[in-house]
Amino acid sequence: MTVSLGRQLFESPAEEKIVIHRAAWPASAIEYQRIVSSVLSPVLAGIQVIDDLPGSQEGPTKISVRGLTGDEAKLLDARLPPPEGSRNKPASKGTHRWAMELPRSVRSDPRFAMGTAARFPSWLELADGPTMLVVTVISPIMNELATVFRIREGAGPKTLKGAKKAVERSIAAHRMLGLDWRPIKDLLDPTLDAEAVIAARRRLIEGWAEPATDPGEGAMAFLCSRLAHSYYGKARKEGTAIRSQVINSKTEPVLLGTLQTWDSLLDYLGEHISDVDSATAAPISTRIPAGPPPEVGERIQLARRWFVEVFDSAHTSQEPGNPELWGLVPPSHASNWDEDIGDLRGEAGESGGLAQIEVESSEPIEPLPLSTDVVRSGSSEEIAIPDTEDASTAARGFDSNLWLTQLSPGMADSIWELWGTTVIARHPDVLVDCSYPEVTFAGILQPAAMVWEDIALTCWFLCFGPYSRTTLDGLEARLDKSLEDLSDLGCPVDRQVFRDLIAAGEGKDWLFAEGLVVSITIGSNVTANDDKPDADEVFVRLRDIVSRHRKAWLEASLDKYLEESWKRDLEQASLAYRELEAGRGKPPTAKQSYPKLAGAAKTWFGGDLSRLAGVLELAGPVAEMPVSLSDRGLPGDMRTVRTRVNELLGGTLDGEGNQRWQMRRRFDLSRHVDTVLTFWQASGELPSRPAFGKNWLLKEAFPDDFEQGYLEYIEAIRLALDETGHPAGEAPLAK
Amino acid sequence: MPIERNNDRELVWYSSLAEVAGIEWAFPDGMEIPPTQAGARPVLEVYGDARLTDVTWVAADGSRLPGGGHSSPAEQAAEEMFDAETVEDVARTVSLSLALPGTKHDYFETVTRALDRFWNLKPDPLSSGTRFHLALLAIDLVESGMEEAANPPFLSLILDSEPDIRSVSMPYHTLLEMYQSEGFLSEATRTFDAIRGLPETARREDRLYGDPRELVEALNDLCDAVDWLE
Repeated sequence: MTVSLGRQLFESPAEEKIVIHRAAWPASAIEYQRIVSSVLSPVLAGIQVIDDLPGSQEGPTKISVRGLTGDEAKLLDARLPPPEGSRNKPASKGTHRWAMELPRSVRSDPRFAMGTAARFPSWLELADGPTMLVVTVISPIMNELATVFRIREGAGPKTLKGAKKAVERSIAAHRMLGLDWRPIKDLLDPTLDAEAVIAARRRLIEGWAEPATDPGEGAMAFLCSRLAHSYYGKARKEGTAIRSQVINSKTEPVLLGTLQTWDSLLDYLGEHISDVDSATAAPISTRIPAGPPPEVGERIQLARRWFVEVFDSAHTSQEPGNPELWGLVPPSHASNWDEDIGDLRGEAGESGGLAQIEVESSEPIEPLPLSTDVVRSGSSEEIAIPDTEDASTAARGFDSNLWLTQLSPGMADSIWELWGTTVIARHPDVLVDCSYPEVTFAGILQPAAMVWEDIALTCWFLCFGPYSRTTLDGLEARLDKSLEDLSDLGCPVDRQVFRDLIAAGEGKDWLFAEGLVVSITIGSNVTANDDKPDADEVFVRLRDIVSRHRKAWLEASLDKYLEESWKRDLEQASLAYRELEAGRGKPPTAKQSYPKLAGAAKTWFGGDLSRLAGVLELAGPVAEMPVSLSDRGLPGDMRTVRTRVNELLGGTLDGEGNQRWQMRRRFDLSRHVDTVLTFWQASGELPSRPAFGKNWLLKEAFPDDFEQGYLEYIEAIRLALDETGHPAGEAPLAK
Repeated sequence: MPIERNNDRELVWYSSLAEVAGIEWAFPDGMEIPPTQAGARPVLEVYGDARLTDVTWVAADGSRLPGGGHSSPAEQAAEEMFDAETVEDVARTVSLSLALPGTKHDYFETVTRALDRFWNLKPDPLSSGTRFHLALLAIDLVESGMEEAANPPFLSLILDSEPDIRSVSMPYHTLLEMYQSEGFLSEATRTFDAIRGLPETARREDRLYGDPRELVEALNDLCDAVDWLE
């Protein structure tokens, strides 16, 4: 029996792997491998290759990669297309950059090289092929090479077995890239003093600048051998392996950065497609209903009412001197609402100055609470709506409460009724309370609401300040991506609106000027625009243009937009489920179905996976699973519980010094009390540490011992609940 | 080392950090000090039962310094730290503050405040080196007189309490963290021991994560376990 190239690659020593890789690497990808080399070589030599693009202050950082020709960038765009983002948000990924910066920092600051390299991961926007190359190839390779630095500072794997494996893998990476690995041994010597450490790491890093082989080829060989390792870990005796058992969230980026597809990997390894994958290679068809199911219909109706009765009405009737409308659209992403600043309900109308603080996170952010108290009383919910009496005297700035105060009568109840339940991954058969129904609701409104809000707010802020994010003639470019998304949905915004606005603003230079628009606020809502005496009149003109176009869009496209919205969500869920089913060769379990169905189920079916599965005609346990509503209620005043937990943990957003991040993360943890309590709602137990997840957060909040820290966190929650007499305080901790 | 006295009260102050015994710090070349600040000195006023001792800083002509004379020139200069946006801004502010008249506590505050400030600044070679030297300087100040460095003059007398020395461990922790992240284990171990050697009330056990000797031991085990292909 001949041994496949892949099997040889898997079993041979590092230097031989290169030879095998050379024979197996597809000729069509040789140019790609050469480009990898052209980016990796300067990084290894300590030459700056990556720049942060300006304008990345909001959201993920955009980067550019130096030294690529136009053709090379095009090739990367084609070979490594960025994944789709969710709705109107681009895809992004947390990426450690310190290892990529290390060759430079060791040279520029030999003594404090580690402190000089970036401390925290960057959240990179996956905007193009070159960025994808950095994320899928350059960063992983540099992290492997730099493993010894992390281990020496005590930040590597915690077990001897794990550390040994990491060091041996790093040695293999050095050998395959033709780099001198021997200084690794010197660097692990714990008896070295500072000067000796500096000399040893300099030897290692300077060796990186002189690879004995092509580093691009070595990098591809190393990453492909990692794939081979995963493949043969799951392969049967005759050499086949099932795709879904090999390719997971860890190996998928490696496959993408090397051979791209499963078929290419099989060719590279010299293996055949498995029976299971072969049987499911046929195109997958999905079935979604022609018209909206009743649950979907109710939600569409509410979204429709919101666009017309709330959003359009408020912007159409906004007059100079009125409060601004920044905050009218419900928050569509999780934010760290600073509840401790004050009681928003008591301060409605004065909350303009409240800051919305983005959670700095290296993981996807979960919704965090808004200061609206939802009190479950029996089976009904009483919703405390902020007092709107003083809304007309709102201060300038973002009003995090405005969306709630401006809803039509009964609309808040409907939002809580329709999106007030959700489901969690570990207990997909129980519906629990959703603390942030407005966030799920807002998901339906985007990207349309964002586009029209940006247009309206730009007109307002250009006229009345204090500053605008863009100029009148910069608006179209700023919104280009979202406008394209709306076109893709078949609901295009007529771009004439931008031309009409520019024409209407002609002669008013301040509508086209970059920078701060100076204005003086007198009293609560009177603004003197000394340099813009006719701002009121100009605003009304612009407002009416925007209103005319918005109404035309609502008339022509809103129904289509909402229809496409639910159909797209259901179609994607159905496809994802059927792909999973096909990859496994049998229907997935309910828990396995969760990642594929939860988004659409939460948005359109109150979290009921089973109902969604029924609508999509999916077969399997998820469709047959009985779903029940938890009879365990959350505490009536969640804010008090969160605040008390924060006190007990000593969390704060205002910490200083070395412990600043630790204290901030403890504050963040106190905002995740809801996660703990919804788990309790579903199971009757408080979650174990693995079930709670968020290890990164726990590790930053309790750096000395995060396992123990989690127990302290649970104790703080128990104590806070005991003080309110809530029964969850007595609940056991799940095993 | 000038001493300002009133009855049985006395305040030790310095015309700059260069005057503090045991501290290696050179007056920055070319730094110009405004005459009102250069000639400033404290005046002590003792009230009532003598527990109330007020320090007023005056210029050479006897007039109070701006702000009512409640702050020494060193302390006033350090206020700029809040607005510092670059490492250069911090370094400049620290240099000016340490070059002006003040107490040992003022200088300690300046240095530890600067160490704090670095957490908000993008790391670069200058910031690492500056942080390191400032941490050493703060430790020198602590070792030249812990209570004097940690407390404003007469505060414990006014409060009728023991001097509060909790803040003195901060520069040690900064140094320990820098050594650990660079993998300078011998130096980290010595700093760890220095923290353990501080009086109990000055230690911050909650910030002392793991003895570096544990990592030394783990690295020894790892070196033995790895297949070095030899």
